[in-house]
Amino acid sequence: MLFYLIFADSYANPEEDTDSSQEESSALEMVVEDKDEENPLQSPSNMTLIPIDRTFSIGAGVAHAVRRVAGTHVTQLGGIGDFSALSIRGSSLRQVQVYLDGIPLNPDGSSIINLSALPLNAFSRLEVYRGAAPPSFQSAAMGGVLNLVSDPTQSTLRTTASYGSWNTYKASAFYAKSESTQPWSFLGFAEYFQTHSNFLYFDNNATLYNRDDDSFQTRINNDKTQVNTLLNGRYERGNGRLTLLHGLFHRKEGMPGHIHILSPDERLHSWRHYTMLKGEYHDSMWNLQTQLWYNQQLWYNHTQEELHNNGQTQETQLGFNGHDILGGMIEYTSWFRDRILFKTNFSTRWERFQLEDIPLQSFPSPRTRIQLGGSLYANIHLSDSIQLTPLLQLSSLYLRANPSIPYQEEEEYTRNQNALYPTPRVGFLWQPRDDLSFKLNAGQYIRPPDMTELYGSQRGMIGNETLLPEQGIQVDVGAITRKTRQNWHLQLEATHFWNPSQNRIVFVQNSQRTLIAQNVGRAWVQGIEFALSWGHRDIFLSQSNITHTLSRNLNTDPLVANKVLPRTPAIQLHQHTSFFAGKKLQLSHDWSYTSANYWDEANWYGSTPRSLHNAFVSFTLHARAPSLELSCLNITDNIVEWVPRNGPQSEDNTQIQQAVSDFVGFPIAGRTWMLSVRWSPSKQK
Amino acid sequence: MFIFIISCIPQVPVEKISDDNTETSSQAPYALVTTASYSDGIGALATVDLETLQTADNLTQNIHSDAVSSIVGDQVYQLNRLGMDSIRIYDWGNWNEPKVEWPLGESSNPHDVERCAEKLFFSLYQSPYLPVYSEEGVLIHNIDLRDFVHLEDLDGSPEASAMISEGDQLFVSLNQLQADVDFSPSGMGTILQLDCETYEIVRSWETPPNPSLYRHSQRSSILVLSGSYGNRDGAIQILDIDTHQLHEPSLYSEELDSWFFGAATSSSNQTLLLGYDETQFESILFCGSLETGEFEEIQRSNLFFAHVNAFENTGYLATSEGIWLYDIDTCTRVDDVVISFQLSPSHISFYTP
Repeated sequence: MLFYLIFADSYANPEEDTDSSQEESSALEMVVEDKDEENPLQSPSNMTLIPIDRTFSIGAGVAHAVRRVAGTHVTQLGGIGDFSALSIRGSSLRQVQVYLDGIPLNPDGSSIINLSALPLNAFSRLEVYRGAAPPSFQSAAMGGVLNLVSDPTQSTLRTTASYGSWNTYKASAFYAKSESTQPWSFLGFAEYFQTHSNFLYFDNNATLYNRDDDSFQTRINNDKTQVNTLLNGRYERGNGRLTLLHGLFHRKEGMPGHIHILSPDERLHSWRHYTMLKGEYHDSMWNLQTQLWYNQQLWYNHTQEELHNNGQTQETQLGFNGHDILGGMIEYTSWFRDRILFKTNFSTRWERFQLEDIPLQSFPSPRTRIQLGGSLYANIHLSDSIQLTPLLQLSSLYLRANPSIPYQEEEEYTRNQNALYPTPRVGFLWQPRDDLSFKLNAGQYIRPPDMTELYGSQRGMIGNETLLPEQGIQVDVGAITRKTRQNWHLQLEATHFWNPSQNRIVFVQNSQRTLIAQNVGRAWVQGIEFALSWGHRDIFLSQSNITHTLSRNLNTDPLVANKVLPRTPAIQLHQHTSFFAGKKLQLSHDWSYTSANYWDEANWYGSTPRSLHNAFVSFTLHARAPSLELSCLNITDNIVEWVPRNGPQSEDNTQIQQAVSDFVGFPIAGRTWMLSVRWSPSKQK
Repeated sequence: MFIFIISCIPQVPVEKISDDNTETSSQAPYALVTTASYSDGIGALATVDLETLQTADNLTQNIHSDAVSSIVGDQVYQLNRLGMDSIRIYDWGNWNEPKVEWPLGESSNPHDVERCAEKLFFSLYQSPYLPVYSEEGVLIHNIDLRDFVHLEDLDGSPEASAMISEGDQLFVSLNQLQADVDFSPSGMGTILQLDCETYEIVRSWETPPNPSLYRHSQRSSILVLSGSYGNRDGAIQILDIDTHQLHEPSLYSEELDSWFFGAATSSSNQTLLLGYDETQFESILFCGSLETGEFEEIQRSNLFFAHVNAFENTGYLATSEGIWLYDIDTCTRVDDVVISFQLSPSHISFYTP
């Protein structure tokens, strides 16, 4: 236990945190915003705020950042730029909701968000909520919430350029302008990323026993070209503020497939547009906020063929997948006698899903669903040191499927598809001293089945319209302390969580060619998270986190009964260390340790314990000169591991090699170098 | 600091569970069962003593979930597909390690293996060639099947599937589907007769779409099942090996309103027929006589029936619950017997010491 306490997880550098939050606090926010939510000592929520500062390498992505948070686990399908997704406290990847400046990218877990598609450098901070999230998100996500926040209230110009292994290029420009004399503030960001991602991986040639044919192969058709832009403008006048945000994402990539079912010709083009208009108005004791957003995601499947053996290729579209979300929210916040902060909000969302398969000539009508939700929240300061935060949240989903399905006449169908989901929760905070808080949270969480699970897709997935939503309860209890003295800081947090769930949705075989989604039973996940951040403002920073997780599958099927949930390692550890020599020299190192974990519910296949080390060194001659950075991911080139060859129940102790992977058939990349330049003529933040 | 951190990391190996599997060694006939959890992508080999119905489960736990096995003499030929496209040849009873293993080509999707003229013939679903290997894994020849790819079939493969050898002759079914159009038929199906010595295609027969071959209890004939998924365009026919005659269908799939995908005949010439009603997502077992063409539905379930095979007069039905037994002569289930495994059985073959 002592070791845990000493070497636990990361919190954001509290001093930077404090500084940035002070910078970010406009006059408006100072009046009525519930700033407690951003201060972990003053909020019952288990929120980690990660400022995107110089402790991140220029080439770092969102996946690198969220690993600094206790309780997180990132599943990665390759190397830099490859698909990666977030799990929190043993949740499935869909049970984590991702927001971009408050815009839901996968509301109600309707999809898995690829973290590598999100440009880390566009944002000023990430907020990771483990479990309970503030009511403004209108989220009942079973895992938690990741919110990426951009900040136009600064004046800076920052440009970066990188080149690295696997023909990786990355260039970005960030410009923000804000002056206290002007009502306008503005942020513009653009990033271009390209990689061949043709790294080496271990290949047993599909023969486990025959080691004569083992070799290292090059990943093919794994290239990515990606563009991200973000525009964020604010206008403030009097007691009002208007925010307009627009983002664009476009990515062309090869879909390399499982290493033994390579798909050298499959391509994917994806687009995302997101726009938000937010208006806020405040008085001395209240705040009214309205928000309207539109988020469109489009995926086009292509196949490519080479033309005349001259290296040029031609792509032919095979399918299309679209997801539109139009949503709005209105929230009213007010203080009552300086002791109770009330929040009430109403939200609505319209979503449209479209799936087309050109070879099959399948062009079904779009499916839509409408969400209506509302919540009543109070932050009751029972005394100077005790807060109680009850939340009553209701969400109603109306699913309208393909018109060919007579949904109105089917009683069962109607009952299951038009559902009201109450998700109440409560938080409690006791802060006996300014530098010490104890927290307790309990609540109900839910994930309704998504359209694929309900209605299937053309290729091998049968819909199940009688699916029930995944439901869960989360309880956590913890403590956090923070000490600051001159330039030194120390923050320590420990939390125990317990998450039972039921009606988990998994795909099972329905016939030789099809899978069907089914509710398969109950499970629980519990664990303990420790986070420790300490350091000297100009010399040293250490951020550590360790999570010990236990999980049990309570399904009565003997195959999976009492087994560990897939991809839920018992121990997850992350250590970030940075050394600074003033502003001129910086050396940073990240170590991620993941204990053995299984890829399947039966716990037959899995990966062995592994450590991955990343590091970078950054050098700057003087404040206005460009800084030069050399970074290396997976320093030890850890791409091969040893596992039993005949499965867990065999008496045969012989071991065989396999590629290090988070997901079978998708090995991670080996040692990856990046050389980067960052230039910021304005003072670096 | 790092030393401290390293010192507190527990070393947690992949879980090892002791098992009490007994190696199969008696002289009783056995069923070799491929078990699988398709959604988890895992599979195992198991055996069943057909006299006592005792099982030895999880003999090896690293085969693919879409695997098949066949037995010739004491040799077990175990095919893996979908990402592990390989052949493993075990000596019966030695399950720790195959005596030889080799890959069959990335994404080749092997469907069947037959031993003919001391050589091994492989049907590869995603290849227009039918490779011939020695028992040691040396490629001897590739039989070109490109002439049997329909013009409208853009995947370039005639989808060679089930095979049966008789003497030095090999019979191969070509499904001839369009892989990129959800495996819909590109036309009629074909059965080829190959000479295993010369590799020449001796003759061919046209069948309804998506044909498959099953051993008939009468050694001089082969049962031909056809029909594409979701359509009632299939039939059951007898291919007479001696007369080279493909008989008129004994039964059409539309008569039973089902897609046929498995069959087994008893020594008394009764037949179990595996069907699937994709409109209700239900598996069906029919029983009847090919001579009269009269079949009755004897089992219907929303459990998935993966495979059916017969040993003497007993039918063994692989369901997602376990193996169910049937008296084929009387078309009745045997005492609600369920032979259970940790994973669902997906394929059954028989071994007689």
